[in-house]
Amino acid sequence: MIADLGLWATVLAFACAVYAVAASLYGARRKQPVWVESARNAVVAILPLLTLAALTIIASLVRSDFHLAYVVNTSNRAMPTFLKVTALWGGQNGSLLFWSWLMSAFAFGVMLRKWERDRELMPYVIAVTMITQAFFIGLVLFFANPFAKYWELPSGDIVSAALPPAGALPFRAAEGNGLNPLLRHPGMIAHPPMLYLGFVGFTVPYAFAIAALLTGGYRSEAWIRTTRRWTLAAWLFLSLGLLLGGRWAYDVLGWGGYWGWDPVENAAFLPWLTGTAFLHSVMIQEKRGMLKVWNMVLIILTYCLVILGTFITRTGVISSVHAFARSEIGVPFFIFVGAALVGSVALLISRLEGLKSENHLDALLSREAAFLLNNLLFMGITLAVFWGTFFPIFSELFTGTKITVGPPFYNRVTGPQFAALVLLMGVGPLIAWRRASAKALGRLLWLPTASALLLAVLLVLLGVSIPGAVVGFAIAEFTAATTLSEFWRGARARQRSSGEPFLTALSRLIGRNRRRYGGYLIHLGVVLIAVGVVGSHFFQKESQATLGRGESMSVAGYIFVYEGFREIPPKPGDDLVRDIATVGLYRDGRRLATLYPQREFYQATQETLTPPALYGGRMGLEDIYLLLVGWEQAGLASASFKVYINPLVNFIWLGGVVFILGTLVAAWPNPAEERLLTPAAERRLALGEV
Amino acid sequence: MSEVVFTPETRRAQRKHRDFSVFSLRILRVLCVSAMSLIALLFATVLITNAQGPTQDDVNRVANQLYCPVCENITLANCPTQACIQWRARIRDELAAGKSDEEIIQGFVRDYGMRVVGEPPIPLLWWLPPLGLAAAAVFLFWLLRSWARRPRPATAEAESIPLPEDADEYRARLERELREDV
Repeated sequence: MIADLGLWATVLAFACAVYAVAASLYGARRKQPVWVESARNAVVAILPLLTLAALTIIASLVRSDFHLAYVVNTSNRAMPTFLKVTALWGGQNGSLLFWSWLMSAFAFGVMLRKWERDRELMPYVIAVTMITQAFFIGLVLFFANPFAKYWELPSGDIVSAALPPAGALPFRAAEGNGLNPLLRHPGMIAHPPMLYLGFVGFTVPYAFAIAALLTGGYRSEAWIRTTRRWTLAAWLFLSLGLLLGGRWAYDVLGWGGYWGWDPVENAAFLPWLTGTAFLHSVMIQEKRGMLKVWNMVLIILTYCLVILGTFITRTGVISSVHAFARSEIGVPFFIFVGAALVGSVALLISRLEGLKSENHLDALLSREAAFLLNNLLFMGITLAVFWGTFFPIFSELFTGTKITVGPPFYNRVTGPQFAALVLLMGVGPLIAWRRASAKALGRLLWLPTASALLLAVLLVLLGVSIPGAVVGFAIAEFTAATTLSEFWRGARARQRSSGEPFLTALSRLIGRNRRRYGGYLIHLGVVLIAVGVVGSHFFQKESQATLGRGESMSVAGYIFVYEGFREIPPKPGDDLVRDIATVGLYRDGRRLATLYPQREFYQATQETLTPPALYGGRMGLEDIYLLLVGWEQAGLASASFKVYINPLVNFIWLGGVVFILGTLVAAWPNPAEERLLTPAAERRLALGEV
Repeated sequence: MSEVVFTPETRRAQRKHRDFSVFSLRILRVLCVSAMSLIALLFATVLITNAQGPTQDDVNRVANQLYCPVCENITLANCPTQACIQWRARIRDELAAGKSDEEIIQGFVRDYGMRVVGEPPIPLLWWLPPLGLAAAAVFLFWLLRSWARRPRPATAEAESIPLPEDADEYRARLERELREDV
């Protein structure tokens, strides 16, 4: 039985993780490196073991082995092979195994690199990562076992258990339930793995931070530099996961949007917010040796939010407190998050003395202050999102009233803060470290400010009457202008001193200062996303109508003509029925396209999906998003359609691409730059002061 | 339409008030006809509206503000469940009966609880995030002020630490080059 192989591989992996915790701590306390080396070997062994375990589940899914409960619950014979493979993370038990596997890959990577440089920290890094690893493997083994099989008891009852109960006979289901239709989408291949990679990735900087606190390594900034690229990698994956999730929602969920402030979305967004704050504020610690405690707080918070996020996604606690009680993994998760938070904060408090700032703020108008304002806004948004997400739980627990906190709350509370953040993004990078002169800053800012005001006036004159939209576009323009001017000024300066052509100067400028210009590229990506969000939020149009064949509806200058309808019966062995309407799209008397909005009906689970028909109107500046809402069963004479016109929504995807490119530029190794950015703390180390 | 309906009426008026002067009679006739046409017009508008009923966009306007009590975080306008189809029908009926959006929403809250609205009017929910931000901002400002006021570390050791001007060495170089250029 191939799944048994996986089960025992997982048991061994669990043993390795527990052993690694014990051996590394023992080795560190007794100053016996041989134990730490042994712990390291155990960590390295977990990756192949869990790879084997994951492969056995994938093999069972592909072979439709319906002896396994997990295979029955998440697949059926008719699913294409790629969906069978992705079903590994399509259900709770498999996704926890998948999480553990990705975690082991990150731990493996940490073990292979920088071992010599951080010999002091490593035992504790091993201990912290392996406690996390052991917790997740433990969940897989004891609470949510994907290797559980069906057994028929002598009494005739069917149960699922990893090991055969006494006297039970193996039971094999005839057919599986199939994957949740929402997850039968190519986006399913990439979105969850990216999100999970982001989640597990943040364990690495957290482990180094805790190790630094435990060993006294917190007195230097070594842990931050060692983990900078790990943090960026985790952040990159998390950002990618969020972007892909937005695109997937837009393509599959059929409500005309990409972000619904759903608890599960928020759960992934919260660690991104604190992680982004962390990425910014460590720069102050690297350069000025300040904010040491705060950075510890941020990374601890990010880690706890990662665990909490996994917990929310997997237990459905937000939808109902009772779902939490029913969920088998709810209580262990709750205990783990609580212990991690309380333990880390207690450790931090005990080390406060050594975390004093090396420098003080020289002036209120300085890069340091700008970074602090950035952190304030990120924390404000985090608080609002956290509060909105968890308020329904508090409400149900304390008052017994079930409530829904919908998008209006989040939009109203976080919208202005996001706007302020984008504005700050335009000003902050121009402010000098330590002490900036208002005059110099004014010289840099007057032109972008004037152009933003001009744009605002222009928009108002053109008839844009929504204040939020005018302000939003003006801020985006301002930040785009200041950021682009940074590229321009840099490239011009290089061009003049070296005589290179402009484009060569620009690309060398970026290549020589990847961190800085990668960061600016990310900022430009954010500006594009902001333009897309403002456009699609304030100017979305929506209309619904029932049309007889040949009749038309008109929305925002587009005319939709209902032309035909056909039903495609399921392929042999499949349960998917497609109902497809044919709609002609016209504008100014010209036929633009034929759209095929459809409804997918999965007979086995009685679930429906209405993927939209999409068309990029006005050269892609606005998306036409057409849904088939319903139709008259008799004679198919009429059908109901819902149309959304989503202006500028493509800027979000474009911005996403720029954003990811920028992150890659910033994370790409560059030895020359590493040397240039020697922080004050390291120099002190060199002077022998520590 | 008004001509056909109201001509006999005006004729009767003419017969009854034969002794009126021609001038006042004409004024009366004009007033009468215009008033009655106005009433007829209003009546016709109401009739036509009633015949068409509220549009699906009208229903969606209200449904977008209500949340499906069965599914999570999905508005009635987007929810395909049977319950939501019935609730949409209820919105249509109540709109047709002349209820305002607000009245309809209140009706749903009465019948299904606070859960159906996406913006629950609970002060604690709405005020904590801005208050938290404001408190953090005040704290930060106080912190910055106290940092800025504190005298520079005066120990010899601190002075000996080279200031991290390298941190912005690049920018400084850039500024220099730009200045020279101009």
